[in-house]
Amino acid sequence: ITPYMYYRNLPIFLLLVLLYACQANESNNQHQSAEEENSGHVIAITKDPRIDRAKLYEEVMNIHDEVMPKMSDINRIKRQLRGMTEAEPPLKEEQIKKAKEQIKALDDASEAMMSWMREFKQPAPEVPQKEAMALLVEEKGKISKVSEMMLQSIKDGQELITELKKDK
Amino acid sequence: MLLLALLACDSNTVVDQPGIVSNISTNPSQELRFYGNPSINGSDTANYQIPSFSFLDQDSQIITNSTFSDKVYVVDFFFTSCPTICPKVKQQMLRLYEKFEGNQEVAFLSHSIDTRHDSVPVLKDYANKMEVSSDRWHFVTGNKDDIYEMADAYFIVAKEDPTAPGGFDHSGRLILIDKNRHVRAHCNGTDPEDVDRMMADINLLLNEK
Repeated sequence: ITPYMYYRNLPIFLLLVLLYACQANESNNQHQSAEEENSGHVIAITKDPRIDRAKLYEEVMNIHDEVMPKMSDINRIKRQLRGMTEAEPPLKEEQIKKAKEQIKALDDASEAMMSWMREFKQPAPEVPQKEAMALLVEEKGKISKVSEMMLQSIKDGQELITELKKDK
Repeated sequence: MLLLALLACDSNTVVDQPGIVSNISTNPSQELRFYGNPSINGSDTANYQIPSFSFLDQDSQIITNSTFSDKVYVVDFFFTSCPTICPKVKQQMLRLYEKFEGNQEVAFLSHSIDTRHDSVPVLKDYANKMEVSSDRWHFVTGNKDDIYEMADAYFIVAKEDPTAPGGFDHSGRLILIDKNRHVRAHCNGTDPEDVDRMMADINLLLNEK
């Protein structure tokens, strides 16, 4: 390697180093801002805020879409339990009490979903990014809780039906 | 080759005439299937029928199966404060409504699944905004369990068709009922092309003997 070759490539080499440094710095900044803006909630960050917003909205809707069909299961289990409380020969008092509590839990879960749907609004495009993302993170938390409540009420309801059938 | 392709497209064209859809690509003698398990009573086999129902519409009219005697009707489930899917579906249902304007044999039945919030006045307001006649398009509320039971009945399509959603929800599925309470077709109410197909299905049922 001659000194001439070294000097000829140096500017290119320096340029490359500079570019890499800039890119690394930028991605660090973005990562930090994601952490900072969303209180540690790590979400995918792209260079396009509209994509980030759309992706997070999609995550919220996916949770909703997965459990929404189970609203009919909730209602069916509820109707079945209610039928059991009204059947002859009648259940024991304690069993009727358990069944009524579970019917209420199923109703509450179903109403929690209706309530979330009534209130949920997708942030308008003019809402600033930080605020919109925070809103969506909050909604994701809320719908996750609704989903848990629904699934739990279904599980408990089905178990109770099995238990009440066995005791007959 | 291009000419052939154009000709092929033309034979599938849906002609835009109110009340009538012609030149449909399906076989004109095609019959729509009957959804649900038939019931057998001795030597008679009866196709699955929608059970009895009774709801209240936006004019506080009691709506039952007899409201739709001798009518073909389109069914959906929605709620007025649904932000995304429902408005799209209503837009498509409006297309169907306008397509069959003046045809007393075609009606629409939208059930609210939010019986707590969607009272008669709320439904009236909703219907008024859509500028539809309550003689042809009924927005109903009632006992929540009854609404869900009917959803199970209409969504019999889900059990038999893998393309239909697994459970009832406000996914935008439209169900088509014939004049004799039989479930005959369904489509994705958010997809204009699928709704076009339902237009053709409605015509098939209207022409059915």
